[in-house]
Amino acid sequence: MVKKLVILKNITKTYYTGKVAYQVLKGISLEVEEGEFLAIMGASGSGKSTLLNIIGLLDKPDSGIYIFDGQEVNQLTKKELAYLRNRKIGFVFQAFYLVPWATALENVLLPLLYRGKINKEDEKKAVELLKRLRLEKRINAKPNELSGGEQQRVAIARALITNPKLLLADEPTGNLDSKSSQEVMNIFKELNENGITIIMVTHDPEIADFAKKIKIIKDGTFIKE
Amino acid sequence: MKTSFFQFLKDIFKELFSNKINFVFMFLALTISLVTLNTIYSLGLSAKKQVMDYLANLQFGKDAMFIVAGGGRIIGLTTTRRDTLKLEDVEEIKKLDFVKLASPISIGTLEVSYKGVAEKLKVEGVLPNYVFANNWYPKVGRFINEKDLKTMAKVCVVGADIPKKFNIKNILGEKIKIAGQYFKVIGVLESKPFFGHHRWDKRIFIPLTTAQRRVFNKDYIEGVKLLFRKGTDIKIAEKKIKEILRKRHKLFGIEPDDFRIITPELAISIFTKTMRTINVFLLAIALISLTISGVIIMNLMYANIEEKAPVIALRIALGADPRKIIKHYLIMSFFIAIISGIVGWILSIFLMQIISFFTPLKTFFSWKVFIFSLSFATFTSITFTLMPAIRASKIEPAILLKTL
Amino acid sequence: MFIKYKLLWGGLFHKKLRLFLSVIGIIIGVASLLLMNSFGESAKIKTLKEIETFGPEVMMVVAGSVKVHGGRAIQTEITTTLKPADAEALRKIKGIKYLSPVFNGDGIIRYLGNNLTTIVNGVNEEYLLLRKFPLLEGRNFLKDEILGYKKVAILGYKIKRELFEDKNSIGKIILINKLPFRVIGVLAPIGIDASNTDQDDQILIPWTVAISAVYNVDYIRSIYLSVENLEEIHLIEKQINKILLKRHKVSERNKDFDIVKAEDILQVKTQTTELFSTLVKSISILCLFVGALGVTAIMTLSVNERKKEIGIRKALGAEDKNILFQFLAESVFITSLGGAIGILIGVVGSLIFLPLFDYPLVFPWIPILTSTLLTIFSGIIAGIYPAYKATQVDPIILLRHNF
Repeated sequence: MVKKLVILKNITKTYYTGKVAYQVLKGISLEVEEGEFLAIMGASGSGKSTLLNIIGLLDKPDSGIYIFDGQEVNQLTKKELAYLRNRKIGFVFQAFYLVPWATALENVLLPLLYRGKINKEDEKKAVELLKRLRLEKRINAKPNELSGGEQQRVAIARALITNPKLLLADEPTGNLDSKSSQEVMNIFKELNENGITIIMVTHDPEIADFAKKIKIIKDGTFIKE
Repeated sequence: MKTSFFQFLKDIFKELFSNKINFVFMFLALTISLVTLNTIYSLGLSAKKQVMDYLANLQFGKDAMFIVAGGGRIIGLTTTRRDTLKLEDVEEIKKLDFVKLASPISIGTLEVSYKGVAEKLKVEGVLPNYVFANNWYPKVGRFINEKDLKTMAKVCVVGADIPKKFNIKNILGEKIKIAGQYFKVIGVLESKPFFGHHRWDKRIFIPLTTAQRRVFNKDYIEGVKLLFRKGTDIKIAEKKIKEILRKRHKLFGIEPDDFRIITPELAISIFTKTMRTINVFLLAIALISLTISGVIIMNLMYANIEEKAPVIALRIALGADPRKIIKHYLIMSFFIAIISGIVGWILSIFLMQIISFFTPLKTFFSWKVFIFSLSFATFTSITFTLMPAIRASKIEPAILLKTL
Repeated sequence: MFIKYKLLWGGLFHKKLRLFLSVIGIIIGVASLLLMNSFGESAKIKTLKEIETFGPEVMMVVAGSVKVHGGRAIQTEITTTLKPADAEALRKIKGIKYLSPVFNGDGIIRYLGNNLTTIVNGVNEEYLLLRKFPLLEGRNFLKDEILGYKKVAILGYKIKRELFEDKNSIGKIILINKLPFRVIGVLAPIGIDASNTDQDDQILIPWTVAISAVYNVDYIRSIYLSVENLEEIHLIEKQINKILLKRHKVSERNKDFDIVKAEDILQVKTQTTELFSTLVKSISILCLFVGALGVTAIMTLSVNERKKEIGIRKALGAEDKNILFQFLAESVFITSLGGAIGILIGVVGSLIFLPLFDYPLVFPWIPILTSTLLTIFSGIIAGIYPAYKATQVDPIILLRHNF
């Protein structure tokens, strides 16, 4: 039997803007198995980003149960959540979010800072990752010297340096031209084939097609396939 | 034109308030420094005014002078003879056309007693004109008159504290013993504020003739208070009086004076000397802190301009005059200066109230401090905004292409 | 290893102008704090030095009455009833170490073409020991010179410079009020003492000569004396009082002399210095405070600008304490850097300015220590608010588009 990495049961989340309550998630249930490549699609405002925040342990649901890698996470402290994020989850964002003053290599090593020491092996590993993503010539470049596609590849390297079980991607190709998008998606596909579970949020059907499975979110719930 | 200037101001305020943290810190830094600066400045003014009021109350504000017998330092041990200042010298000084009034004094500390209560007190032999010379009048009874002087009467006028000291209810007409002789009390003077060790209200006054012949038995005087006509040049007066006295006392060449001339200016500087040194140091510190505030403003202005670079670049791309950009930021900093200047001034008034509550220093209100506060605020703020503003005016419109 | 620190601290050096200006603010603050503290400390030492020649064991018996005002003894009345014999009588009191009759007056001094006026102090051979006046050259009076009415003189430092410049003065003959005196010694520079007189501007001669040949009087102005044992000073004061009252046949109330102890004079003086020192020190903290405010301002701004960076750090597993520490460390770094340079400038400034303002030069150890502690403290204070603000950044902003 394949292990379930993410189990969401009846998740709700409400935001308050001023006095107006705005229920973003209205009872979401989802199960993601290890090795899956899931694309979540939806228009803007559908709640897909909020869902990703919850899956990525950046936000907590108002109600419902979330079991991540066999551990119920609702009751975990901030510190424990930070630990889980650091060890088991990798993030890739639309706007890359590279630290502007650090080089590509340094950006890749950033997650390890919160594990304590960064040693020579870590550096070697980061260089290898960058090489694998065909960035060997850009190791010491600053983000503003890199193209969009290159920046996103650095971000992917940063997500992979911790050997995460789950890779979360939020519109990873949103800021890229089509050639770079193809490149990034091919990397994702390859990573998934090597065993990493990927959950990706997008509104682009072409990109979603790279995934093994597609779910569509609308007004805070999944539309039945 | 008018509307466009209004628009210009509106832009400035919008930018100022869009980044509240920036604005608050600029304001805070400037205001803290200004409050200190204003308070120290006004306390200095206040202390000086207190001394001047005190001296003016004694008719020693200006157009006056005091000559003390005995040479030497202004304060300290006398190093020459002290018995050379005579009434004849006073007569000679009186002949100078700018001298309005001369009031000689002969002083001694004597044992004064009444019904077994005895104390050593300052006894001064004076002329009737003493009241005008010192702006000090009897509260009850009368002062010494010409007749007392002529007859060497054994009468005395006492300071306001004396009746209480000897526990006398109706002191007028009572006889008190001064150095073994009985003196009839003919008047009580009104209370005078005192400063330092000059306890005016504890003194006793007797006719000068009585003092010289019957009490002290000496023909010299301790000092003479002079009042001048309005507009007298005190420096020239001092010089002339010095010449007369040196000539009369036969002092030539490098022989030192056997008298000391105390001018109101000198008195003020003696009274405020310690205070002034401290004040200068404190003002220096406050000015340094104002400079630091300036650096903070400069830093935040740079940061602000960096943040607003695309907007500025857009303006320049649309043909804005670089000078207008500079003006924009200078007006912005002027506005911060005005607010801080006013708030700093108001807070310093509150702070002075608190200080005056715990110390003898009085609060002091002056528009001078207001102007002082505003000008220092403006100067600091504008000076330190100048460089960032020039930097802003030099932003290349090309950066727009990168950010968009 | 290096990369770890780069990742922790790199943000600080990203905007160099900003860092530079923040550091400048602290530098000015710390430098002036240190400088002002040095002035405060030095002012205290200055007072102590003034007190030295008028130590607590010294007493003055002054003819007439004396008021102590503002740290100065002011002779308010002078009498001629204090006689040399009174001084001799006081010698009998047990516990007196040194004693010298003093008659002081103005003198016109001549040497070759040079004329000047100064204070001439008639004293005995114990006066220099009593006042702890060091001799630059020559020797002290001999007892025989005092008793033998010898016309010898010891010059104050300034008098020597004015009359003789660099030339030798020992053995030369000068005129004091037209009488010839042989110079036997020169005092080392002393400066203004606690009684506020410039002790370099005086000439010492035997008191016997002063009251006879020079001033022709039969009285003295004061008697200086010092006690063996400081604890006995009040007892000795009482004895002096008793003896003089008896000799002058006066009652306590009609006393024609006054006894002034050093402590009477020193109390006010040290109080003023204390006030000066405390005020200047406490207000100078303001400078550092304002400088720290600048750090808070710039750090707060920086946190606002670096929200994305903070968010991504959190998403990548940074705990709140990591973020808090990072930003606290940044502000402590700014203040420490400014502090170190400020202290350096302050020390150099003290070494230059103290002599310039006639304050005694001391290496400002204590001010350095206080400045260092205050700097670190203010760095932490300055960082608390921005660092706290940094921890409040919610990483979910990363997923809000168009952020």
